[in-house]
Amino acid sequence: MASYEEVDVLIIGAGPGGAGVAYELKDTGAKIVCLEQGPWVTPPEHPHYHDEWEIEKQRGWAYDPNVRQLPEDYPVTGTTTPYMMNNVGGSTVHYAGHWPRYKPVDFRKGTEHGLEGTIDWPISYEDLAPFYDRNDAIYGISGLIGDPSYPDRKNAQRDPMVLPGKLGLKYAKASRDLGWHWWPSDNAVITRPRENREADVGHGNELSGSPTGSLSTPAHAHWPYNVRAGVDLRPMSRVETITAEGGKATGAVYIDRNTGNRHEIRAKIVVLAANGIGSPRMLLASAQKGHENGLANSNGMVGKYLMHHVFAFCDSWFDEPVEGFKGSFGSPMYSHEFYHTDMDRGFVNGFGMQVARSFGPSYAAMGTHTGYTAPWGEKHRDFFANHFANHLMVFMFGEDLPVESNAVTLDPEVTDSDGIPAAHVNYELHPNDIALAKYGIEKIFEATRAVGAVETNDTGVLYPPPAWHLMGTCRMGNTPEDSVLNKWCQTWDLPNLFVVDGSTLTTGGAVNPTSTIGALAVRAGEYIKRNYDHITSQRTTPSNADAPSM
Amino acid sequence: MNNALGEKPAPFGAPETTVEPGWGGGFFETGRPRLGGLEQPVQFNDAQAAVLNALADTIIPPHPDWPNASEVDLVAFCGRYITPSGYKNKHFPFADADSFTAALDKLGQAFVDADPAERAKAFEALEKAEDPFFEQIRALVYYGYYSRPEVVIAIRKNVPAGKDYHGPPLPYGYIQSLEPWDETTLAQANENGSYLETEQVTRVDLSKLTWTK
Repeated sequence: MASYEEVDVLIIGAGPGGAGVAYELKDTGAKIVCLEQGPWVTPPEHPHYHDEWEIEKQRGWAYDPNVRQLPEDYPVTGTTTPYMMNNVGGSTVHYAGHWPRYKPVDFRKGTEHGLEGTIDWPISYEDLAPFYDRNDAIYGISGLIGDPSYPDRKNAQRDPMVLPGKLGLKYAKASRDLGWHWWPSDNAVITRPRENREADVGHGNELSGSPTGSLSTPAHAHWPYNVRAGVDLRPMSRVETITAEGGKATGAVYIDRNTGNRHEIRAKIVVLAANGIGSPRMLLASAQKGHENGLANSNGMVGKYLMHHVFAFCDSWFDEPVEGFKGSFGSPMYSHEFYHTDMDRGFVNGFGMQVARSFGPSYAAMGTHTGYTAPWGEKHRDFFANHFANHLMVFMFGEDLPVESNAVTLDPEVTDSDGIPAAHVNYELHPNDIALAKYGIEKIFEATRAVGAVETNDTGVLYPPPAWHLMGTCRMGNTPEDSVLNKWCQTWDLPNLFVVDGSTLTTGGAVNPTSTIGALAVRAGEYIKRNYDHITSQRTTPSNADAPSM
Repeated sequence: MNNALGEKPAPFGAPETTVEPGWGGGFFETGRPRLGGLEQPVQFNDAQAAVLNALADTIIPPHPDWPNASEVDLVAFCGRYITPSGYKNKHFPFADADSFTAALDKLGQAFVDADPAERAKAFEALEKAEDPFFEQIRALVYYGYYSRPEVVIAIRKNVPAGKDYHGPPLPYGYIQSLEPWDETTLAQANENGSYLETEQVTRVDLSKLTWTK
């Protein structure tokens, strides 16, 4: 009896990348296994029904695995606050559900400025547009079609918009009064019920997930259907090494975290989808004979050009109720007035203003998003009465440049609980990022003061950035010299090894990346489905021009 | 016996017997913090409980419109969220029972007997000394006090912006009291905004960059 099992497609990671590819392949009859190092988080594990829901945000639901330290997490060292979760659904299990798309210009930043490591994407917005629509339909997205700052997307399905509340209406008024662009946000929050999922009831706290399924994540939108169709999802299965032989990936060795036993799976195609830190970590940790610098890393680019977006949190308080504790956390509206490069500002790229909700009274007392902690003692009661729920927070987040030295490497000394090297992150802000962010902070307060903010506080340009967005570390590109992947997400070195997650993104745009990661997963899955025989017979990865088309 | 995830039962933090190498105080293999805190809270003696309540009233002083912080059982709340003796102190608010009770003992009956001004002075001394206990107890009092149902009721009564706040986000949510988009505002949303088509993207004038590396 063989000491290994054989499958057609092995997927590593059950987040948006892996789930999306599996969804496209689930009805093909292919034997598919997905290995996920974490568990499938169940509704009772969420804090939303508990009086103590706010303190739980700092504990098992902390964003940073170094703080949370759950059994499935692995350390990430360096000056970094990596925000990720390791479980079925990946980091979407605690995301806000902001669901913007890239704009056409985001695929052409090499043409526009080419600064640092910036290159054009090997595909255009038009190439990806139909996959955005398909992906949106799978997840369940609420919003309003018609934003003039985007190409037409009349084929996209939308649930009715989430309700703005006082908070959304206030910043909409500010933007309108200033003559700025604004538009109600697309959110990965359903406002109509779906199978096994309840419609949003405006509960908020999506940053600790949603036990009702109102938040659109692969744990709700993909995996029940993937499993029903026969995809073999294996939670608690931590990949130790991706194996390779003769110029092709052959599968992986993984540890069953329930038993501690190692198993080998061989596969004709391997799809790595472990996020922008986890995927380069896995490739580097899979160094082996013939791949001494790690898999898919013959040009040394795995892990490089890490992007997070440049962030600042901007709090404003009003002398009237804003009620930020109400409503889905996903932004009720955004302004892309400053999205495009305007060289009269002295920097390239731009930023979005995304209006966020608040949390509860403990969050107000503990200092909201900007560390403005309520005083203890005799001033406490007045402070609380004036600040709780009079608060409006806007995320300033801008496009950061892909810089070669911003990189994920392996930590030579630190390991996870199975002895696999920890990821190490080096990330420094670029002067362009800082200039952009400072300008953005000013503009946000210009808006909130125009509608009556009586007090403001901000974090300044955050360093390290709150790294919800892990991008660029195995990027798609135009040649084997400028990237890790070709335009179909195949690694240049191993034609049957795909990477489909945030690391795939060539540049970051100034929007949340999950809708784009999901669209790329649909596209990669469709490509594998249509070209399975071709891909499995390839001995080398074809150039973008020579690769079979969709 | 293992739990449903196949993990050894570690009520809070990794057992001290966990092997030590690695980063951040040990491996990550055990220690899923229980929702709601400890099943069996850390117990305080009467003297420690009295100090804790006196601290609560110092941090959030009594007010006629609000429940007293000393009367909403923050003692039990703290007992659930600090790390018991013998376990690794891995989770927020990173307060281990031994140091925590020692800090309470140190303040002692003198703190309980002091008047509010004297208590404030003693607590300010902890803040100035950057004693870790200061941040731990402040966080526990803030998170604890504002999580208590009787305080939630007071918020609804006393804070205009909080009149609809109902504590845990679910099961109720706020869909019934959220304002919708008004048609006039929405009709104006498309007045501003544009984008570049793919073929319109051209090189910008990089001589206008104002930053230098």
